[in-house]
Amino acid sequence: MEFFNNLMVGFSVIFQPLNLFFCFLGVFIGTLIGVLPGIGPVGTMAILLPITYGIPPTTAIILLAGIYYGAQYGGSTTSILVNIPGEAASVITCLDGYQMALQGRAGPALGIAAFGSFIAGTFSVIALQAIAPPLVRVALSFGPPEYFSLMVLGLVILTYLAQKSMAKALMMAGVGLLLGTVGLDTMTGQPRFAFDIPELLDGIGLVPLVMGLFGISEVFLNVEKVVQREVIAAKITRLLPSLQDWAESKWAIARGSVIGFFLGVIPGGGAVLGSLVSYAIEKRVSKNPEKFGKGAIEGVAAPESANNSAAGGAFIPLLTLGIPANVVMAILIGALMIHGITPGPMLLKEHPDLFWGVIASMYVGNAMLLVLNLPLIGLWVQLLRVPYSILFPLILFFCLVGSYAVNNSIIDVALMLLFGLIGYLMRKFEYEPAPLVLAFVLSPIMEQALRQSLILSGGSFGIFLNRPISLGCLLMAIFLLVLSFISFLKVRIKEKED
Amino acid sequence: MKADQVSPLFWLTFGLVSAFGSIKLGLGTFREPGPGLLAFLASSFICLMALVVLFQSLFLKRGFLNKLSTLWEGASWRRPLAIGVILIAYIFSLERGGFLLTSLIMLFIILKLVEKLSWTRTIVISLSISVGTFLLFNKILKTTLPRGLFGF
Amino acid sequence: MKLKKEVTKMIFLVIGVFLISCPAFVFSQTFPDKPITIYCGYAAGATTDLTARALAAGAEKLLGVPVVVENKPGGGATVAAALVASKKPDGYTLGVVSTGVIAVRPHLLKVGYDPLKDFTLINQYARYIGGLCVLSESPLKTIDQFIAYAKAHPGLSYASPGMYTQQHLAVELFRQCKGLEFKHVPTKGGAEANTQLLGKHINFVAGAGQHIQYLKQGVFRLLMVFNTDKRDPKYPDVPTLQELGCQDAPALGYIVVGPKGLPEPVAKKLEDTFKKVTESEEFQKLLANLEIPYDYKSRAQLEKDVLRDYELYKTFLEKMGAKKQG
Repeated sequence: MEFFNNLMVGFSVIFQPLNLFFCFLGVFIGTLIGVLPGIGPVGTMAILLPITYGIPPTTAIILLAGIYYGAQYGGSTTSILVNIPGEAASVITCLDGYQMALQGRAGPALGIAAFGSFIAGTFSVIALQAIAPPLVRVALSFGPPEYFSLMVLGLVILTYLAQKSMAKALMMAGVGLLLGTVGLDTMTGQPRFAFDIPELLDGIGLVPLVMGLFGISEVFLNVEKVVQREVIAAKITRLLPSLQDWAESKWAIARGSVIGFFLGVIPGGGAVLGSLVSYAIEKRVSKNPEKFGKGAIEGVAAPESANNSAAGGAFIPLLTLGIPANVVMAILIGALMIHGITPGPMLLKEHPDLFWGVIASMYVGNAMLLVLNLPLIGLWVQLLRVPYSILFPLILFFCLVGSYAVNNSIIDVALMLLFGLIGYLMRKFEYEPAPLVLAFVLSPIMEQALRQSLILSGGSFGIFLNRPISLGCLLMAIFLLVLSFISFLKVRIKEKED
Repeated sequence: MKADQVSPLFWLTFGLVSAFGSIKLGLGTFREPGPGLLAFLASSFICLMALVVLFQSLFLKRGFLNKLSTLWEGASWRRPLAIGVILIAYIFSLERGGFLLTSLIMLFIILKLVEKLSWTRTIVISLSISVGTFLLFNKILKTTLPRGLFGF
Repeated sequence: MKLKKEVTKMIFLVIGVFLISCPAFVFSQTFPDKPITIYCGYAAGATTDLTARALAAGAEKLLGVPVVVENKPGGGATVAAALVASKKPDGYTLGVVSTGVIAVRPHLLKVGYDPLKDFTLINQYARYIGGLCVLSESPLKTIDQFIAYAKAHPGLSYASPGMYTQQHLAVELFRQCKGLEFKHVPTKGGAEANTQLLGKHINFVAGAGQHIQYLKQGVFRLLMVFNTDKRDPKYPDVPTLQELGCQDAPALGYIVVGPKGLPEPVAKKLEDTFKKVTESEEFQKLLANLEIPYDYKSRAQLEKDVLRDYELYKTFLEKMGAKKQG
């Protein structure tokens, strides 16, 4: 009952004209930002922060929140259409989404992404409302040992991303791990692999890395071809997912929503991790794993649901304890503090209308986003008809500006180009970029967690086994490793027999 | 040389160099890992996997076995190279020439020389894209784009 | 005859001096006549950035030209600092950074500027704070109880916002001074450190500002403040580290800087403008909302203090075994 009471309070807040307007504005801007490669919600929110000074705090948070989860919707568009992630979290959508577009199925891909995002987004708000307090207790109990074991589990799951050569995929993971160490070492304050470039002290940016490996390399690959890609335009079939598509995706959406949500709650997890893990799990549980990477609709449904769900989940630590789960939430904390509101456990008691208003705005916002995005599908699909010789300079451009805008730094642009070159060669020589990106994201978290844990335990490794959550993750990792080894053996034995 | 013999050699070298670098950072002990430990383990792993790929290709005849020369068969390697060089030039001149001017020039070069579009198309498209993005990012989104010697 | 020569010399001297000071004179008359750029060494949305933007907005009103904030985060504001140091000293390029870029970072890494020579300091308007907190459910209610407990249980763990931050150094000084033993867990910032305490993974935290929100909500308890020589007026019963008889790491401040060689009249005008802005009601309210203590230092005061802090941090870091890398 209380669930609905709170909801009523929230709806009374969101349905005020001012809040509705800013909710719409937020999700609209968010969608645009998500579509433009590189410019992320962080920069936009920060820039719009001053605008929020003049409006009531609830409205300000509704606006900023809308930009954040709205961006998750838009991010899939360029991933599917041109194989360039609009947002770091949309990297995984490129894998199958783009293949679907090449097969003329851009419409269903975009459609399932929109619907999946809506379902997942709504799910995450419901879950937020229902289980926020107990969930946040669990999230808090994730200390350094738990993070380490979780990251180890993540690395093991990563092996399921491999499409062709396992050795090459693992090697790319190693490279990702290595690249993740670049920067100032948190534990000793020492610069690592920074080559005296101060911009590298904070590490290699995820945006330049992803834009380069996926986006710029894609441009290079396409520019090679002397024969233009007009063929695609002729093949566009339907605009929306078919019943079959739905049947295939429904579990992907469900699983993606849940996985994304929990990973979003854990501080430091987030949308990128959520989308990567949900994709890998879909592939693992699928009856035809080989179709992943070739245009499997689950390969779009799962990560898209996960990243939207993670966006919702990330609000939990913020609203219940005032802990930022990621950089975006940190900006929201700043916004709250400017208005004199202290984020923390008392937020619900002291400002219930803000709390429930923001939650209600997320229901409304998700609905608005669905309505916004569906008709746009027809528009985006038309974009594919633009001759590539005009399209690719535009894409190059947006990537260049996008990577610059992250930190106003030309170094990021140079990095992106470097990774573009590396990515191009990698793909020509059949190395996969996805494991690299996942390992890159996991590496710093895992390493810091390991060393912090060893400080706490005084050098003993027992700390990872003494704690239930940590032990659980490690056991799961071992289990999955054994499973994949068994299937590897099965394949080899079968080969011998043939 | 086959593709899957060249590439692992590259990664092997990369791994060895990184391993050296990591040792210099300090390995520490397993109980008290130093800044270079994870990097060293990762680099060694890379070397190991590179050897595996090499082994697979040389002896087990598995993997990407095309000859190096066939990788660019039917595809132009000049065009990606040209784009790459243009991009490098763009990055170097961006902060001096300012966003608007450098972008205009770059687009012009790409569309005219690489893509060989007609004069009208080149001018129209380069102008609209560079001015368009300039307005979009500078005025509407209020991100700061590099301003060159000319002040814009 | 001699007198005439003397008088002529005098006249020439006066004209000469006038001519030389003319550019500066002209400068100050027309400064500013085009937009000013302030490079903020922190990401958009960070607390320092919020204050920088408020500063810019206020200055714009007083100076009559656009004052734009551009974020150049990285390396703990050293990227922005290096950038500012490389620009023309005409008053149109400034930076908002922390005193750490001068007093701390150069002892730890190679930086792209000479910390003592490459800047014209303008003024400081706020400082970073630090405090030792435990969970409010802890039985330890005063710092003396804490010290007794720590002596009886060596190896208490704490999280700091980072290696060699002012908060970390203060706790280290505290530790040495009282002969205690701690396990130090560095993190990537105040928020992360607080989360560790909330999750009970560590025993206490070296709070860096964000801990205030938990104090206000009764989740944390403040046992001691450091990086300061005065007690926090909102927590009058909580002693400072210095009151316990220990050396303290001086607080780093939010400062405005320009490239070296800024003409005097320009620097003075900027100093006066920013002083007025920070004294304004809106700015004070912003600081209060963000829980940042107002700590104004004039240019002269800042120059003295920065030099002192530079030497002080040099000794602290050396004692802790921090070696300069690169």
